[in-house]
Amino acid sequence: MYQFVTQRLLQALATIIVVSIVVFLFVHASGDPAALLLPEQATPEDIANLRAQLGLDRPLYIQYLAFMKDFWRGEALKSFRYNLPALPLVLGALRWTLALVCGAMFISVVLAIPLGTLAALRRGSLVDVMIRVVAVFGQSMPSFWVAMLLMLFFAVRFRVLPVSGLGFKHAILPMATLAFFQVAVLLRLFRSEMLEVIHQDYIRTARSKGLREAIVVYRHAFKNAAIPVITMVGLQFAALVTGAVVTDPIFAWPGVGFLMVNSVFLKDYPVVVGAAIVAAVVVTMINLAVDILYGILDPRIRVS
Amino acid sequence: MATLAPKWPAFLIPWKPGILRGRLAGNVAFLVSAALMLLFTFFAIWPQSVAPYDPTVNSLSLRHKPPGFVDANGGVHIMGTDHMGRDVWSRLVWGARASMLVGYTGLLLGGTVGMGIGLAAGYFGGWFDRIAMRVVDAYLSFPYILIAIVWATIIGTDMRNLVVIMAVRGWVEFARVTRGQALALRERDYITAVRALGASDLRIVWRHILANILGPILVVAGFQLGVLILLEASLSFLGIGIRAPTPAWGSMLSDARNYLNQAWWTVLFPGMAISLLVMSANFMGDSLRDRLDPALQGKA
Repeated sequence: MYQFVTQRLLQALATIIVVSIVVFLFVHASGDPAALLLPEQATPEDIANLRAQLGLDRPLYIQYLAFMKDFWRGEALKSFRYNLPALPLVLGALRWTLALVCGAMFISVVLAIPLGTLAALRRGSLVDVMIRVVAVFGQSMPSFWVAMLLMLFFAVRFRVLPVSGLGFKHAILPMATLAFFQVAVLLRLFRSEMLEVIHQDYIRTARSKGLREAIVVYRHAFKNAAIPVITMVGLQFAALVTGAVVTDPIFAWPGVGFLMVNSVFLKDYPVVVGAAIVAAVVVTMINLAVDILYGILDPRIRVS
Repeated sequence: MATLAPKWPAFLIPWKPGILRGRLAGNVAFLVSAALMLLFTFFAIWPQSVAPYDPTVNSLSLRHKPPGFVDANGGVHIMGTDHMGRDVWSRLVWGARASMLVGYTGLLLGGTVGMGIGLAAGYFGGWFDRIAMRVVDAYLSFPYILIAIVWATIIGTDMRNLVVIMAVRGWVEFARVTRGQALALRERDYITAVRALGASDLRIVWRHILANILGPILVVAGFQLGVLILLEASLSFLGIGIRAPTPAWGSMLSDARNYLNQAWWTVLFPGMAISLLVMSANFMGDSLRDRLDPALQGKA
């Protein structure tokens, strides 16, 4: 088990390093800050001096290490716009994004599991076909379009929910948008896992022992089918954050997406970069937690 | 179980009776999605032959006219007009060009690179394999759109940059699947046989491995096309993809956002276009997979 956790920890660290290198290279490629900071009449010597002062003449990997050190102290990236360190700004927005994402994930799991079970047990029935058709549609529709359609119906046409802003009622539409896609993904997975499990010998044994169907389904089939779903829940956090980034601006939900997109237009690079790195760390941590949970729940994973 | 010669993948012969039997629904889905794909491709190549109006010409007197509106010159706007009086149907048709161009070229570029990396990793293994697979894992667990936004902010997005952004997203799945397949095939008897005959690594990879994994690669291509089209649409929607005045579905929706209560048709049609195209790509991937692997049949 220790070996398993260590291995996963190292993988998570590798992910964060890969992402931070990519982001650093982007910042590096964006141009020479020395030339931007100095007035136009600066001589090449002035530029060279400032470059030395800022450490830009050092080898690239040293610059990267310095960048990461400053980043975690909250000093590397200052928002041009607000003249504040970017990190607290990003963390503030991330809180709202995570609230949406976790809410949406909860709703999706609660909906997907009974529907998936139903689809698997009544395989080929009208219910099954309908659930699958909806799932296929769900995976093909762009999240921002679903968001706009929901808004069109519930906020513009019937005026039951607010269009945009921050608050409990305001969270319903953005959460529903995200959950829509998650339900589709989880449902498909859970259905196929359930189908796999239900045809195993031990299920037949359980039935032939005379156990009630509800017990067979819940105690024997469900528990085994649920394990891969947990991994999927972890993996899907990345997709949910993607969805939140794209749909935040529509609902004016003050999450990471809203912050990033606004910063793009203000050319506030440090905020954009900071948001990307922080989101990478958070998503990786969630994945790590789910992986470890998976290892605890399913001994087979630990061994292999 | 050695396959001696590269077999022609079965899904390329759709009307073989054994394949058709009892799988009518799957075939209908495949044919419909293939037809939609062809239709959108046609739009992308010859938009001027389908679109009745210039997609960029605006007219204030024609703002937000509902679908079916007939203008003073007797011209019909079957999908209505947008906030600048531009014909929605014409913009939709021209928008296919941007989506397909970015999607297909990104797929081609990403697919080639990904297959190269996957073959090298799977066939030769070693440190390259380990590093490549770490990077793939990192990719799959990370919201790529954040990288795309950073990229767009710092470097900017013209058509060429967009294609590169797509390719940088698209190579991952190709590399993963190619590697897995190459790894499995490497151990087969026929590869040992070919090697004993004195074939070079390059020849083995090209003639005996690549030729045998084209099927799964096509499946990945189907799904990835959908992913890339959605990514392009999302970026255009956020205002950092395809730039005005070039019509793109994502930016059409972005414009429509401000007029939700006035013009539902500007919201409905571009979104339907994206969904249909992505769905066709997914269905193609799905039915190719079913044809290739009967064991997967009926599973999502």
